[in-house]
Amino acid sequence: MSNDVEENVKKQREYKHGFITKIEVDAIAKGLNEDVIRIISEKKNEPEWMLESRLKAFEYWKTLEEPRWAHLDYPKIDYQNISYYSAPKTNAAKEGPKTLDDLDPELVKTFEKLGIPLQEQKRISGVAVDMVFDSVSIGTTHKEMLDEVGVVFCSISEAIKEHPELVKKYFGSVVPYKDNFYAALNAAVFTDGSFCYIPKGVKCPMDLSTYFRINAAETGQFERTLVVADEGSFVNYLEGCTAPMRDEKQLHAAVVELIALDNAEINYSTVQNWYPGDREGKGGVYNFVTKRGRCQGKNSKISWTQVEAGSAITWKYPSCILQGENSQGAFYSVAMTHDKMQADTGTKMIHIGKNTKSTIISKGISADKSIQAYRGLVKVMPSATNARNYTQCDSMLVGHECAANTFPYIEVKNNTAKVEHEASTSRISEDQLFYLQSRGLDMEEAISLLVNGFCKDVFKMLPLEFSVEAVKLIEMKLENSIG
Amino acid sequence: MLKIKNLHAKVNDVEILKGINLEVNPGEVHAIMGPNGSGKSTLAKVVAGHPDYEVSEGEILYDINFVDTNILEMEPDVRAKEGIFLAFQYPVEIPGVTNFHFLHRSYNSVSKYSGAGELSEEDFRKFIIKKSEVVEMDPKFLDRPVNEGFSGGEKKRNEILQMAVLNPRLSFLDETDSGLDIDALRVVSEGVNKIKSKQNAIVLVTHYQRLLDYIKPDFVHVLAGGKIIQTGGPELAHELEKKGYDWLVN
Amino acid sequence: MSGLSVENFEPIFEESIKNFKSYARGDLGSWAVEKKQRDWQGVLQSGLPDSKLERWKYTNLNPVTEVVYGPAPSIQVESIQNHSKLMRAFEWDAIRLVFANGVYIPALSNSDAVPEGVVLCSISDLTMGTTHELGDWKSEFLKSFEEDHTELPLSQLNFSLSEDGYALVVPNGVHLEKPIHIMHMCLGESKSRWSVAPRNVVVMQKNSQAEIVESYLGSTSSETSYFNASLTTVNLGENAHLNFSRWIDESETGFHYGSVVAKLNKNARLFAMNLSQGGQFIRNDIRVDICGEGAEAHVNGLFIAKKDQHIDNHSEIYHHSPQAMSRQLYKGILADKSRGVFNGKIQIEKEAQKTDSSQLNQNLLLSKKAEIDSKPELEVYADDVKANHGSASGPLDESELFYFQSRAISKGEAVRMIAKGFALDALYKQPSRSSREFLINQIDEGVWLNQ
Repeated sequence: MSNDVEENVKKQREYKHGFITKIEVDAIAKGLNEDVIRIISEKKNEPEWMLESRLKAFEYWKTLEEPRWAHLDYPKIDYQNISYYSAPKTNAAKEGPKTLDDLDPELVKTFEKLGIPLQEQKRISGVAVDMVFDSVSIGTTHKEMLDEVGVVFCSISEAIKEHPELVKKYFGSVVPYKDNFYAALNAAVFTDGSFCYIPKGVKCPMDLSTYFRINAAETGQFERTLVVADEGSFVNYLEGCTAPMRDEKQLHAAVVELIALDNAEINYSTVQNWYPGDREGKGGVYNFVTKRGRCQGKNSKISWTQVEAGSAITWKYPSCILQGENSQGAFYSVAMTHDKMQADTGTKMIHIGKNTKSTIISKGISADKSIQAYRGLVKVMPSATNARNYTQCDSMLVGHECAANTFPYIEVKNNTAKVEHEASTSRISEDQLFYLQSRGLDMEEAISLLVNGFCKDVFKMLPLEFSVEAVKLIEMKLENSIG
Repeated sequence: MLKIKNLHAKVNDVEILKGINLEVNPGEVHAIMGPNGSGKSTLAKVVAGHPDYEVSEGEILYDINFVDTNILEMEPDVRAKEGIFLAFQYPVEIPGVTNFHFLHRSYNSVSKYSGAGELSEEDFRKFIIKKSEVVEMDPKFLDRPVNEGFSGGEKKRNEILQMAVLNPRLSFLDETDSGLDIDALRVVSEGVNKIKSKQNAIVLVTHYQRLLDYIKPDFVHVLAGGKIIQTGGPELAHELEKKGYDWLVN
Repeated sequence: MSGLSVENFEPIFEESIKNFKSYARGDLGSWAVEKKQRDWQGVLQSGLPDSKLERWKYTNLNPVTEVVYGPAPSIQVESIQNHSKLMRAFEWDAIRLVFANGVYIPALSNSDAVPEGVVLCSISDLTMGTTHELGDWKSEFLKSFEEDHTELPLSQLNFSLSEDGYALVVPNGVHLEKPIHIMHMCLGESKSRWSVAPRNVVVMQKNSQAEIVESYLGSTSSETSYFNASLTTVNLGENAHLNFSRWIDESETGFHYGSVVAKLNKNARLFAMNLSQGGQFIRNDIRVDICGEGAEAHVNGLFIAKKDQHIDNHSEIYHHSPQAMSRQLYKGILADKSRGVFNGKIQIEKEAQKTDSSQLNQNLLLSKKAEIDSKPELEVYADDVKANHGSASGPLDESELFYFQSRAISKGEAVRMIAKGFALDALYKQPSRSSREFLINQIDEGVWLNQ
């Protein structure tokens, strides 16, 4: 890359969601012990069974050691130096929002600034949003319309109280607390998140969306999302995340569980743009997330689409357990890392049922000094006759100091299965840029064309408004790295 | 030679052929035309015995030793030995197996079945090099893996070379003209014309009339919605070229 | 100690060091004794890798370490004639060095055709100083012999147990016309399991050229078992060219661990091939370091497993220099209840711009109970490179079968032809006709003929 380009790399990258909301909060002191868990549970007015479940997870977590990954490098996290609960001080928070008008005007402004207007007249039509601010859900839009068709969409705290039978049945059924270190921690201290139930045969009339915002300093966000699609139902689910620029690291350890019954379909899309830290790697969010879906029923489908553009460190593998006959899982991912970001992401496709299919398309762009790894598992169990998998992982390197790694694991225990994996590494070359420019495109258009070409198989899976946002996000980040 | 009666066939429970009737006699050239997705290729594959298709009704009678025999239960290789040939629309690539080895095995297996002797590698090489001229194919192709790295045109020529080698009684050419430039089309067509005789029959499955300028059909059938909806002489193809399929289908 | 204990090898280590001391002479001898002791202490402490280690995830060495090892049966040269499997390998017209149960057998070896200046002998002869004086290649040879390969945890075990092996030094500009065939045979009967640990060194100086096939063959009854743990280090000087094949065909009860470490200098070319079949357990490790511009590494393999065999292949290529290229193709055919593993890696360092590399693993599963674990890996730290890999596993392709049947070839015949073609596709990557045909003749076609 030429000096010109190098020069441009030095331009400060803009993180436009980096502002801090000044708001009075109800937070508990730093530290993690049984009392903290009891306090969280009490603040949420939780039933006894939920508290017990939290304590059990906590007991187990204490026995675990923090995982270390070969290709991620970060200092040890002091779990006693984090506050596990922080909520805007409003009555609405504890009681659950009666109406959105109860909200602190600062909060309303915050979400407006983030592009999510809460007031009725300005709401994004066609998308219902649940907003999670630090440890609590502060409100859900379009409730009435969803009620009409029987779709339950609310905060998980509310669901624990209002729909205990559903929560008891499915909570922890896909990601048990024993799954991993962060899943155990989350099961012990989760504070809020979204819950969604689509009844039999209902095609959800609008896309559902959760917007996560970490605001408070030195807090962890441990949200928990549970989506259940009953027989023959369909839902598009979107998730967005941002955080202010702070010098300290923030920890985000979420768990998302999806369950699709017979003939149900869930499309889960994420645009993750947590604060990645500054150019020297100071500050930023540790994004350690466990996401997994179970295609429990026949012909069920779960598709994960993610655009990972933020966080200092990302560690996440949205996965599918393909249990029902003819069920299908998909993973479409674009990950963009720059400066000193590190991302280790991928998926697991576990084929159990007959005629199950999975598709994995992963596109990684690493720039500057960042390190990225695709880590994926395709496992075909002996029972998965005629299973099919197709995997494609492409990496693009921008600059001399970044790295792109690909670590696929393919385990086939059934000879009727066909499993294919392809991967490649390439770069945006100056030759390409020059060629495009010599045909009249400016640098911005040229990059956009190349990135769109590289990522189009993933972008086209996103709902339109998300897709536009995602393309802009990646282009903006990349422009700073190329020139 | 071939009598197809009320043939119904489906793939993955979707019915594609919905009652085909067709009779083909020695020395005849038939063209089966029709819009995309009408079932033309399916018909060719069902006659050759492709395992993906399930015949749910009807029969395919084929003259074996002067007896009309229902071939539906026959394995594809037995059908081939009996002289049925399918030129594939998308010939398959087989890494590691040379074209020569493949053709040699294929030739000997047909030849042995018909009671004629097998050819040694040496004799077969002489024979095949002569046959290669039919489709103007460079003999170097013989030592490359089957269809691997072949261009579209080369693959189609290779199919016709196989036809020349196996000397079938009944040939289905499935979209053999698709993806060919004019020169390749000429070579392939001339190859087919050289192989054509009073004893054998050829069924051309094609979407375009273009091929029929080179290989003159005696009969033209229009297949739409899984049925033959019109049969005529060569003039029908010209009419289709001018008017499209819509006037027949609707 | 974190890994699996090697205490069960102690009796044979003691014996090997005793034997070695009895004939080792001079600097080289005393150095080797010292290194053997050091390596033994090292492996005693670290143990052998267990399945918690990423590189050993799919292969468990427990069956190797869990029995006490005893001495290898001694062999009468005449008795080898009774083993038809072994005798067949003698038919190849090549320069030949033969080892039986780890011991060099001059009577069966034939190195008359070795050109002057080329060193080809057993390591024991070299350490006794009986055949060759260490010439100007001494330092290069010792470097290759000496180097510790901590990334290959069995290399220490190999050296500490090793009594013999072969040395090949091809001097500047020399082309060996005739292929070299190194035969390591295990045969005979013993109540306890024995082990052999060939340690081989190949030094190819500038502009030299050679062709080697190492055969690891077993012919024992099912009552007896052995463990063959070999290591060959290969050093290719500037513009040197080596065709290097390994054919592994152990007894049904035999265990095999084979490792190759190769270093390529500027414009050097290596064509490595591995044909693995037979044996109860085979693990192959090959590591290639590309340390010079313009070098080419072609690392290929074919593995054919049946019954409850386990065959594991690890192939790692490290690009340290720019403008080099590497190719890997590994093909597996798995029948019955066998299990195959492929773990390949391409690592491209920051300096290695303009690298052109690819890696492909294809597996054919012939039976319901056969299993494959495939793990192709890329680690790329340079931006202007071509790197791709692929993996495909599945049964015989229905459309291929149909194509054959439509050309009058019966289904059974089609299966055999396609499987054979699948296998040959890998062996064709060996550019030397002589080695290639030799290997093709060894393919165990019975594996698919019986399906």
